[in-house]
Amino acid sequence: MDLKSKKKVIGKVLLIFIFISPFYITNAQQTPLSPISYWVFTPYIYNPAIVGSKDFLSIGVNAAFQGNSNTQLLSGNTRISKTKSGYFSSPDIVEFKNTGIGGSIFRDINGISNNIGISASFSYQIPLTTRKLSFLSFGISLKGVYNTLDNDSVGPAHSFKKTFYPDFDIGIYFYGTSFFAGLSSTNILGNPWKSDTLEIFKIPVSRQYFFTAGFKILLSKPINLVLEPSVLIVASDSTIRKISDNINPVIRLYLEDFCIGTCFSSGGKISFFTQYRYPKFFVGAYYELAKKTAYFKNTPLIEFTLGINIQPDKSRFSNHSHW
Amino acid sequence: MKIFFKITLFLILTIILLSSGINGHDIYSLGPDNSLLGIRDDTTNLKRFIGVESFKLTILPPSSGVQFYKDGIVFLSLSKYEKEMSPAQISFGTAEAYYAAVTDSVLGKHTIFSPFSSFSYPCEAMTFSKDFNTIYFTKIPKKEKKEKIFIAKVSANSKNQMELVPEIAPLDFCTGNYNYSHPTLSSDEKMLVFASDREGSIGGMDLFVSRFEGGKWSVPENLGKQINTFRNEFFPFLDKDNNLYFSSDGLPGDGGYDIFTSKFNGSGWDKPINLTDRINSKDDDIAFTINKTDGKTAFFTRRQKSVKGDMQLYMVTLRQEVADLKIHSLSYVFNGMPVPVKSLLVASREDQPSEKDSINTKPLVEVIKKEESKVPENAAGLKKKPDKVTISKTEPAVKQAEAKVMTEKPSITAPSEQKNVVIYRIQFLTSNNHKNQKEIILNGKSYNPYEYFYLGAYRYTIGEFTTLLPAVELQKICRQSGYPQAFIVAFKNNARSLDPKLFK
Repeated sequence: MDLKSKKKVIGKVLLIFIFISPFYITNAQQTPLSPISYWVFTPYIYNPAIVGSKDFLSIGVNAAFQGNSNTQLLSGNTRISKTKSGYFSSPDIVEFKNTGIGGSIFRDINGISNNIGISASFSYQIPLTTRKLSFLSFGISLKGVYNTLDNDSVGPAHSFKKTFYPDFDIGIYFYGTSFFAGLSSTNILGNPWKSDTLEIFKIPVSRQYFFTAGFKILLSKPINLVLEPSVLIVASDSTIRKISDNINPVIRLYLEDFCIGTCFSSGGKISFFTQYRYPKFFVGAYYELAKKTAYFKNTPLIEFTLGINIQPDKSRFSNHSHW
Repeated sequence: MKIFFKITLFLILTIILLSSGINGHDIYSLGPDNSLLGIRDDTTNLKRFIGVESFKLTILPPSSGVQFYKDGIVFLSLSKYEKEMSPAQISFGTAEAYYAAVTDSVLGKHTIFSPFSSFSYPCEAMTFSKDFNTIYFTKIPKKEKKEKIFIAKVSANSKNQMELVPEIAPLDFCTGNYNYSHPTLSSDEKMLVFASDREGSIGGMDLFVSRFEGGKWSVPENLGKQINTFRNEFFPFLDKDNNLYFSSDGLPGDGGYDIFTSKFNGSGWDKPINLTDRINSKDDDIAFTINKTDGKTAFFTRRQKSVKGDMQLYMVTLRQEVADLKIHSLSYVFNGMPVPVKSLLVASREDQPSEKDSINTKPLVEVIKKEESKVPENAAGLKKKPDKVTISKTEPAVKQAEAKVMTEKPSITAPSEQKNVVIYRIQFLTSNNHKNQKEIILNGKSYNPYEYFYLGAYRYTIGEFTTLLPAVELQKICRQSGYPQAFIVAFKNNARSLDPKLFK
């Protein structure tokens, strides 16, 4: 079997795996959890500086369903470009700007709290080399969230409490051909109920901090085999866990249009994710096995993502989008 | 009975005619100038002489094709492809010119074309001087919408690294609110053919020629209604014999833009001929270019007539079968033997200044022009049907020796021992490294190269003459036989001399 055939088989197996596995997982006992797969699939949600870091418009859906808790996230981002008529004998040229834009709409039902939000993100990229192969990017995301609390679960003081609150995220991101690092903070304004004396039923919103850094190690160029070890550190103002519990080492392996990876946590969780990119759309799944403790049963988490890459490569250089 | 006889006779004649067509080379016949004019009207036969295959290289706008450069091609690519990292992992990058060697239809490693300044202009729309130190290219100046022709020179920067330095202003004749693009230089660098919609255009883009006279480019002349139509003619290319290739959607063709060739007749160009559906298709066939060094490889681009305008590069090669014939370049296949042009000899002297040891060329030019006029036309084999020509710069000497050749002994064996003796040799190769070149074969004659070291480079010559006239003849043979850059060098007491008097 030649390499091309092998890759086709691998692709089919992974694709079947991605689509079938959620049905196994949904039979398991579930616990409420916020979606975290956007850390993997749509990182520009937690760091607006990443918005528009690809040369194509991408729209994605992340969704998690677990009992009476579920979350859906619809997001998109693109790099601003302009089509120029160019040379007389040449097709039009796509000229990229140093600006990226993005946005998202999300709905997050987490136990007693129901959040519906919308965000708009902007980034500005400063190329660090003549040939624009690395850049430093700054980003900001403005958002508004409408929160309601389930009146059956909260006391009379918060019954039918409805709150709209604005917030914003900021981020900085360095991108190189074999190294990347980013730092961001989300929900800068924090919880809108700060002055509330009854903090038992606070809106589950707090300022969060994300730091990510990693390397890309080329293992084989002919088959585009790349290993990407990285780390994602997540902390929040309300973090009560040990600092080490916030460190998530991540390893990804890319093979052409496939990606498979795992995320370790010293908190005892272990996760796997897979993703496959077609020229014009991508699919992915994220699984997490929680640690068995007195409070949490050994229940897996499943989230999946589906996305469309509109105009895969505006430069017309390749039909295949990049990661 | 008579009818039966007639039918039988008709069938016999038909079989004879058909069988003559089946028998490969038998159908092939040379024209008076060894051309294959009969063949190029016949696609089936053309297939026997040239191969046309798609080439694995993405054409990136604003380029529409590639251009030959040194031992490879120059083309636009995305800068992220220059890195060792998988391009699928690199988000950004910009369009940039690269060059790579082409070996056995495979593109070699990408090398940045202009390392110290970005160069991202259409690669097919540029042309090089013989020494590759001057580049004429097309770009749209800032704050303008029309493309113009610019010059860039290769020079050493402060760190003694070679750098491309573009001129700030376009060529003098690029005036008005018109497009000037796709420049192509003649082999003597005295003519610049380009496409423009300037004043004097018959319609759309037309082909114009400007001549280098008195140190500047002349006012462009339209190539006339024989070549230009009321529609577009562009992508001109001049091969080493100054035959013209271009694309037109106004001349009769297969649809869209077709590629045509027009033979250089010494002062202008003949009526253009379609390169047949061996090259052309119903889509746009554009950006034809031939390797001027070996003449055996060409590229062109086929552009879909869709909105996206997807482009596919094609490589044209001279088939092995032609080795049995008297053809050693694609120019011959399409246009036959070149027509001698005296002005070519005149101008080619001026490529010598690249060595910075240039002599005062003007008197030399005049002298050679005068001497050239005395040379019998058949002396260099131009009108005479040439003998088998076997030239190879790369084949091992053993293989060359298999050819039945006659070794020409140097006319003077020990010049160094004679005082005040002037020797003329024909320099055909310059190299930074020593070459183990034992012999070259021109027109069935074997020549033993003479090597000398001068200004930091190894230089290789053939022939030794005490007078200029036979040197001119040999120079002409060299130029017609795969060494277009060959020129005469003079030695006085076995030392290279630049004295202009020696060339009078």
